[in-house]
Amino acid sequence: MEPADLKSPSPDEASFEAWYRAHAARPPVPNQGFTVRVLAALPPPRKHASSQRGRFCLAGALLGGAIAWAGGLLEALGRPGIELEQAGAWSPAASPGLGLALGLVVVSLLYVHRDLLRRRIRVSFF
Amino acid sequence: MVSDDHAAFGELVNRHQSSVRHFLRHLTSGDHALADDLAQETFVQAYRGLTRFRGASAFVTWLLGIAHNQWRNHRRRPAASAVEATDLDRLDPVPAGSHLSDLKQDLSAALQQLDAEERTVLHLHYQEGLSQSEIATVLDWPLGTVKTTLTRSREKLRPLLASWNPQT
Repeated sequence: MEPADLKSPSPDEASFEAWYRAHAARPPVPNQGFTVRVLAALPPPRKHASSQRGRFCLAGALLGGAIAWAGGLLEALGRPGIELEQAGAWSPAASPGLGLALGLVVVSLLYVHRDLLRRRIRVSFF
Repeated sequence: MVSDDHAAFGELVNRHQSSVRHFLRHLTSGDHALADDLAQETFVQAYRGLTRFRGASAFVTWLLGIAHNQWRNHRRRPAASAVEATDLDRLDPVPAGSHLSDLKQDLSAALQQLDAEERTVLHLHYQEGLSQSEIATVLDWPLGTVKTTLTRSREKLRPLLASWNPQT
C-alpha cells in the first residue's frame, strides 16, 4: 500500500513542481552532425542470401499472380456467348482460384518485405 | 550512399538524440565528449537490438534504458573509474563559460546538495518528462523506490530554492 502523500502531490508540492519544471528546463541539444556520426558507426546493412530469396519470392509471386489472372481472363473469353464484361473476368471474385492466387500474392509480398515494413511503420510511429 | 535501413534509423536518431545526449550529459556531470561517445554507442546498440523492441514502453524510454546501461558499464571499467575519481570532481555540471542567471546558479548549487541518484530521478522526471513508472523502467528500479526518491529530492530542494519560488 502506497502512502497517500505519494499519490497526489499537495498544493505546495504541485506549485513547487510547476515552478521547478519551468525553471529547470533546458533547450534541446543541437544535432551538430551527431546523426551522421552515429550512422557512420552503424554496422553495414545486411545484404545476403535473405534479400536474394526475397527478390526470388517477389518475382515468383508476381509471375504466379499474372498467370492466374491471365488464366481467368482466357477462360472467360473462351465461353461462347458470354461477353467479357458479363463474365466479370477482371474481378478476382469471378473465380475462387483467381482470388486465392491474388491473396497469396499479397501475403507473399507482405511476408517478403515484413522487416522493411516493420521498420517503416516504427519510424513513422515513433 | 546511405541504405534504407540507415536512413530510417537516422530519422530515429534525429528525433531522440537530444533526450539521450541530455541524459548522458547529466550522468557524466557535464562531460560532453564522454556523453556523446556513450550516446553514439547507445544508438548503435539500439540499432542492433531494434527487432527486440516490443513496444512495451515508449521508444525513448527504451533508449534511455540502454543509455543508462552504457553509463553503468562505462563506470565499471577500471580505467574509467580512475578518470572519474580525478576528473569528475573538477567538472562543472553546467558548461563553463555560459552566462547563467543567479537563479540557474542557485538551482545548480541546490542540485549539488542532492546525491547522484536523486539528481538523476529529478532529471528524468522534470527535464525528460518521464512518468514514475517510466523512470523505474529506465533505471531498472522498483516503482516504490522511484516514488520515494522523487519525494525525498523535492523535499530537499524546496527549502534550498524557497527564496526563488513565491508559492512556498
